[in-house]
Amino acid sequence: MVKDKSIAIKKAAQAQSRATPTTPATTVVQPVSTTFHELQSAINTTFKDYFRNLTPRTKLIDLFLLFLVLLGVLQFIYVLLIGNFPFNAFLGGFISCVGQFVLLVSLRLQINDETKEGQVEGEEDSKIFKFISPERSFGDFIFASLILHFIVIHFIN
Amino acid sequence: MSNVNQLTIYGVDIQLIRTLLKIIIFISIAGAAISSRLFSVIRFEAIIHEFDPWFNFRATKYLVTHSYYEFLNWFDDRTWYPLGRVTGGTLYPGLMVTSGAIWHILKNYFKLPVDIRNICVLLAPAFSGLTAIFTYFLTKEMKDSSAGLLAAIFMGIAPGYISRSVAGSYDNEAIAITLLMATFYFWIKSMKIGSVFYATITALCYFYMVSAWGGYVFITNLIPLHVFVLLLMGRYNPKLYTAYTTWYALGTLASMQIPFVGFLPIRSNDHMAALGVFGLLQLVAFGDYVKSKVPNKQFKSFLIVSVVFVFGSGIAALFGLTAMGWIAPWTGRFYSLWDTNYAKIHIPIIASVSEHQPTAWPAFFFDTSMLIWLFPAGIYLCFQDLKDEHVFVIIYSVLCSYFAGVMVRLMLTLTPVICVSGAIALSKLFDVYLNIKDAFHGDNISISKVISKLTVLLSFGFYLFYFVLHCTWVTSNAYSSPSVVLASRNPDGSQNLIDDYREAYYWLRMNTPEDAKVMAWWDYGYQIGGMADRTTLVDNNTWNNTHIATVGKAMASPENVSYEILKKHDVDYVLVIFGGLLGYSGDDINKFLWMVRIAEGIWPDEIKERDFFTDRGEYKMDKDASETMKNSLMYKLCYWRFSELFGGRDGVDRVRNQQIPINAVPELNVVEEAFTSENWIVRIYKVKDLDNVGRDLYDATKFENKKSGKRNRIVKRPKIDLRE
Amino acid sequence: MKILILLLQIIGLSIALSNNQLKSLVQSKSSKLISLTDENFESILQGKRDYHIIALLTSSSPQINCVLCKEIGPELEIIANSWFKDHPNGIEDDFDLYFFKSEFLESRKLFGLFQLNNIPKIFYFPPTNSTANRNYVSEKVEYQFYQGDHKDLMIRWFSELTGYKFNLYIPVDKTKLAIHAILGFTSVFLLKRYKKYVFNVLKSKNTWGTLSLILILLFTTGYMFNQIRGSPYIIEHQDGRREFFLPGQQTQLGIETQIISFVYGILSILLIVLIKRAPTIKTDSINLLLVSIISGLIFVMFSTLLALFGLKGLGFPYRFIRFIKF
Repeated sequence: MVKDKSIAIKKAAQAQSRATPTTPATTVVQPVSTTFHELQSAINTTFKDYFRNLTPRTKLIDLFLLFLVLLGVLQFIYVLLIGNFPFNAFLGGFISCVGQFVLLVSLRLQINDETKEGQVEGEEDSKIFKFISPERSFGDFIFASLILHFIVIHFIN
Repeated sequence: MSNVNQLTIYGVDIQLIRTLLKIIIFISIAGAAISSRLFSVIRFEAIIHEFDPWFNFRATKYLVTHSYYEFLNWFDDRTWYPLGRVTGGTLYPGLMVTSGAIWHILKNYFKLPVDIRNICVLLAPAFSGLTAIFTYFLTKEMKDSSAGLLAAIFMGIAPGYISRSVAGSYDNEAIAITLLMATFYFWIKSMKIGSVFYATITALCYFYMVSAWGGYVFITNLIPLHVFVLLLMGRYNPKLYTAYTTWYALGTLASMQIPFVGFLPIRSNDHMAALGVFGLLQLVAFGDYVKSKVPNKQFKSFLIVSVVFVFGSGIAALFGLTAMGWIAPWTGRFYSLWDTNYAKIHIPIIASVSEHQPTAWPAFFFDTSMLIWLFPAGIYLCFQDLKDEHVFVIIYSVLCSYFAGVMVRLMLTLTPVICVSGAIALSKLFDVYLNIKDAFHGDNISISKVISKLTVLLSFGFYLFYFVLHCTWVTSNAYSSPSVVLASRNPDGSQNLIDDYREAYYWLRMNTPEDAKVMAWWDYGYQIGGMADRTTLVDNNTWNNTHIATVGKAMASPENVSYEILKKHDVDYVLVIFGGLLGYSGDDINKFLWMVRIAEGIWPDEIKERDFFTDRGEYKMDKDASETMKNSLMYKLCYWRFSELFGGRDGVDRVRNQQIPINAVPELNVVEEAFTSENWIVRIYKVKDLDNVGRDLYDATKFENKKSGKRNRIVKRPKIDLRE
Repeated sequence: MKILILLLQIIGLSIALSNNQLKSLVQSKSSKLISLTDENFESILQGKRDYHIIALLTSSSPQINCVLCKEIGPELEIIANSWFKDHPNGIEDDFDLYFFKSEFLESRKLFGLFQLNNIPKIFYFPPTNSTANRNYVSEKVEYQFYQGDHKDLMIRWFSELTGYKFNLYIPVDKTKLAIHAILGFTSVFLLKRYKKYVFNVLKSKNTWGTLSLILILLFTTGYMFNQIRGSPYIIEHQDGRREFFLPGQQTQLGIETQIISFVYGILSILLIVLIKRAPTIKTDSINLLLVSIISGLIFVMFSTLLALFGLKGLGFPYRFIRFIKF
């Protein structure tokens, strides 16, 4: 769970601000100066590149992702503070967040793959998801989400 | 093998012919798979086999007669008396639900009111046909459809799988292997094309699998391992991310819907590997994203920092949570796979089951015949073109060979991969040698080429033919006896059926009060529940060690001690299985040592294994038998009046080849013989009530015997001879 | 010491060694588990004894192949050594305690005297005043083996009998530690030195391929069975006859695993040659020769396999070639 969260936090950071990833840097002691410097520039590059490639579609997805992460964190904090009495309800909620999150990321990967190919290179073979059109990936996404939420509702009773 | 250029034969499209042929082949494979599993039905009749299937059958009947919710909340008061068992919450409902659903569909939509028993008997063969088809698809992903067809037919008739899926062996494994293959197929498919849709299907199959068999843990660990190895090989791609995360999120959530599994997937260490890989994959995906944006050197430092951080926190979290008791440590059964001595020391119950013994080499050959040496060749070929899906086959085969070596039972999970890789090897061979085009290259026909091809083809055709013979022989000889009904051969070669079990269970059903409690060793618990419909103390669901040990103690103790236990548990009848007359080796005397061992585990002061051996350390029943042995209830129940059968000579125990002396007839005081089956396999004793006039039962028996003199019951000698 | 014992034997059998003699004997040895042989047992056990004795009757010879003996021996030695660490000069005003170990091959007489049919046995001999001939045979108390931690169980039994308290000092095996340290050090060093090479090996497909194939071959031929059951490698009869195969599906010898994995391995290799190598030969006649030789070999090996499987009984009816007349 903890691991999950740290990933989630990172993702959140990626999506919005660039503040959090500096935390890992504090764990390294010796070659701090160079490593830290490179880290900084790496983050900066990623950050810039991210905004350059942002399309309205991906923006929507990323906002949704951020929302899910926040929701997950909120639930987690709730459990830490108040206790996990209806454990299955918490699990249902939390896992639905995680599940929706990974589904969204998958969708984003698939769609993004398509647009990148269209814009930059245009080679058909180098595409990673060559069997999946954006329409199909969206359909898959809906299908998987429906099943996910059906199970969650069943789980919560 | 017509020319490739020609697209139509007699005006029919070649693709169409191909599909048609494929369908015909499928139908015949399924037919072969099903019919080879019907030996037992033809030889005996359509009954349920063995032990566990009887419980499944009983549960299915309950499901069919009650509603689904009642089934899930079923509290069974007829087993584990006086504890009872929360059956609905402690079983894997997949099997029962499947056959219940088939029954309902047949009844309501096709208006075919089939007996639920027939559905249960024939479920396993029907599913084996499906398994063959899924094996085809799986192998097709590995190589091509010709390998797939070979794998399907191997899977259809390989004895290793037949052993658990003959008609009548209505067990969880019957449908679980089908689901295993389906899950793996969809996993490979989704991993290959990165489709969320297929990953969802994988998760659904996984859910079905979880509902059907405890062996689902195998999938839970194998798929993450596959992903992990791929990551180590530096083969990460977004497709992997899509497939795995979707499967994991949906599959885990779905698996928690099964009451018996509950919150295990987030609590037990068995499932932590999957969670760990899930987390790792998120990181790798993020890293991959960053990598695509920044120069290499910067990425390296980024990598180091995050790896150190994540590993530290992850390991700390795992240890912390385990220490705080949030995550259960590995379960015993799972642990016994790694530390092979673990079970022997800590869980004698698990060690006592014969299917948990290690496997000697003949079993492998017996179950797979020549596939066993095609298997390494297939793995080698997988290494040759090491694609992602081949990595899967390799991991699967190495792991499963280990597991199958440790436990006979897990032969079942090894068989599919043997079939797959054997088929890969063989179809590669056929690819090379069936291609006769180059022999007819140009005008002159190269005779030597033709001969060399023919040699290989004919010899392998012969081996395949032998393979079919082998499988048929094994199936008909080893795996087709229901073990409820035994078969023997008369001297003239005709078959003789020994039906003692059912005779005795039927007697119980008809002649004992409805609420009678029967004590027997746990092996027979399900059968008594299913066939005799009487309450049992212990059964094959070995969840309560102490209770089983109590029964073991009652059997191993002298009469007076046993009587207290019997009375405390309201036992009315005691049932023992005795094969000494017939030479049936699976009887209670041979299992007796396990009873002693299990009882010793709880009461080391009262029961001592050593006391049951003679001074020379032998396990004997004859005149040398130790006093403790002679006084034990089990010994008395088995050999009571045994030597009377032999007309004044010493009785001969045919299982152990030992003489039972006529002058040392055990005396019984606290129980009396109620029923002995035709061939003496089942003996049932009634526990005497406390004496009316308050005498000790010993005195009472003595008094009775004096009064009536020696009771002269004519003991009927069975007609049939020793079972071969 | 030997002369002394001999002398004692000559003087009279009814006199056991005195406590002080034994004490000096023990103090002179590094292992406090003294060996009891046909030569010295009379002098130690016979007659009056003013000390407790615990004797392990065992055998570590491969002929007898006693698994439990091999487990018990070192554990009793640890107990003995710990006892003398606590009491290097014996106990002041009570009976001393000595530990003995008797090896079957060196003391057949002793084993015969106790009429032993199975080993290991642990006997306890209390102090006695009796001087009757062979008094020790009737005075012995036998230890019962149970499952569990043997050291613990034995100590419990000993203290029940003697009334003494036992402490355990499990020695740190220094040589093992040193070897591990050296091994670890050198491997790290080698890893650093030949980093590239090691990584190449680790990355190589062939390494992993060979490894997995060997594992598969071992596992599918009952290697784990040998490990778990501790089956003997080979059975040698008194007359020098050797048995390579045990009949029956549920048993096997260690050598069977080797033979069968060899057969499987050869068959697989032949098949791979047939698939991979043979088609690359372009000359027709050589190709034919190779293919027919390999096909013949496969046939012979497969027949061997079937014959071997037939040896395991079960009434298996199929053979290609009858090697042995049954």
